[in-house]
Amino acid sequence: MRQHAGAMNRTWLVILGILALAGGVLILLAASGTLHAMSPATVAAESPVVTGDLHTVFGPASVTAIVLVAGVLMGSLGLLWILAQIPRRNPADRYRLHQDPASGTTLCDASVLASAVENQINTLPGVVGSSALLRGTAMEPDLTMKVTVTNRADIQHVLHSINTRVIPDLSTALETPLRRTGIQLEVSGRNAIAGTTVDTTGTVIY
Amino acid sequence: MSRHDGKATPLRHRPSRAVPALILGTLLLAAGVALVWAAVARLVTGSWPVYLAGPRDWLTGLTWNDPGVWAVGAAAAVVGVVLLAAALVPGRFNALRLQAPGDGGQIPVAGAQEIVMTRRAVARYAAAHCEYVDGVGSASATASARAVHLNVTTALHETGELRGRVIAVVRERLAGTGLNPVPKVTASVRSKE
Repeated sequence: MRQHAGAMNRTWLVILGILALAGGVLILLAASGTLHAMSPATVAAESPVVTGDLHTVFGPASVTAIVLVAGVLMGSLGLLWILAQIPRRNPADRYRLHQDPASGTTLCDASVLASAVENQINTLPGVVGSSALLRGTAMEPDLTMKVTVTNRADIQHVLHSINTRVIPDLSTALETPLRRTGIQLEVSGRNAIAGTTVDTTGTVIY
Repeated sequence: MSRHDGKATPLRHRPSRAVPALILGTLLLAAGVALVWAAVARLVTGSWPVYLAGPRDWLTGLTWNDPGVWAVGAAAAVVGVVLLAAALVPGRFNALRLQAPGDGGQIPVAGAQEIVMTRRAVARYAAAHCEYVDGVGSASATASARAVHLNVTTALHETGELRGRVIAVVRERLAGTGLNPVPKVTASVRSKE
């Protein structure tokens, strides 16, 4: 249910991977002299890596400012990238259910509707627990549910009940069809909240 | 910071590559802190920190065909290949798709419906139903996106018949959940004796 930064990670890994690979290959070509053989204008294998005097290059105050800005930029990017790894729920804030604000406004917290959905799912036989999350807008709501069932539950029956009771009820409350629904099923060894099966033991005496 | 603008994303997805991202993010952060530290030290004391003297001297006396340059180039190329592999190797899906019960269009869902069962859930479900089979002492299971493997222990000496029975029961139960496609079921049966 929580959202991860998968696409962003892949993009940046590809960019940094290409840069590192290209840089590495370029250094190896320069070190082997192949680069100089291909283009005489480039560095020879025997020439020094740093041609100028580093004391002079890093002397001006402007270089200090450049280093400072580069450091802040790199540090910020690194920190943002680390923070982006925290999985987020990204729920909808509040649904605006009114048509014309001039005649009054109706706001509904999406978490209230999600709680109602959870409560209804928890009454279904075989369900151990549930978590619901609404995203999107009041006109185009997205419902994502995580439903934990017992390992003996009839999963198709649970899904049928959600599709014929829970989702239509939410759709009726919002007076609009849901744009998208997602159900993630988990299995637990715990007992269901409703319709619990009681294990019995006994001794048969003849 | 909402990366998806409140929109739902697929529940069945491949790994998010959080580990390489965290490592690179930490390295970027460390490099940034080091650069800021050096710049601030230069502003305060008027000279660059002492720890930069070593790399500076090393760079000054370096030629392109030096073994150190070869090592840096090779390391950069290897890191590049590793990063590209981390980004491009798809990885395994976290969940398996389920087919929705046929309701003849009664669900008021305008768009798509996605129903998934996590690999861990499939494994638990398979192991639990395996333990209901007569003759099974204990069972555990592992699930991938396409297959479920059961590890069964039994008190029976002849395990061949039980193995076939366990596979048939678990396959039937997994098909009954609506998993689409039904994962291939394999089993290893070990006799306790």
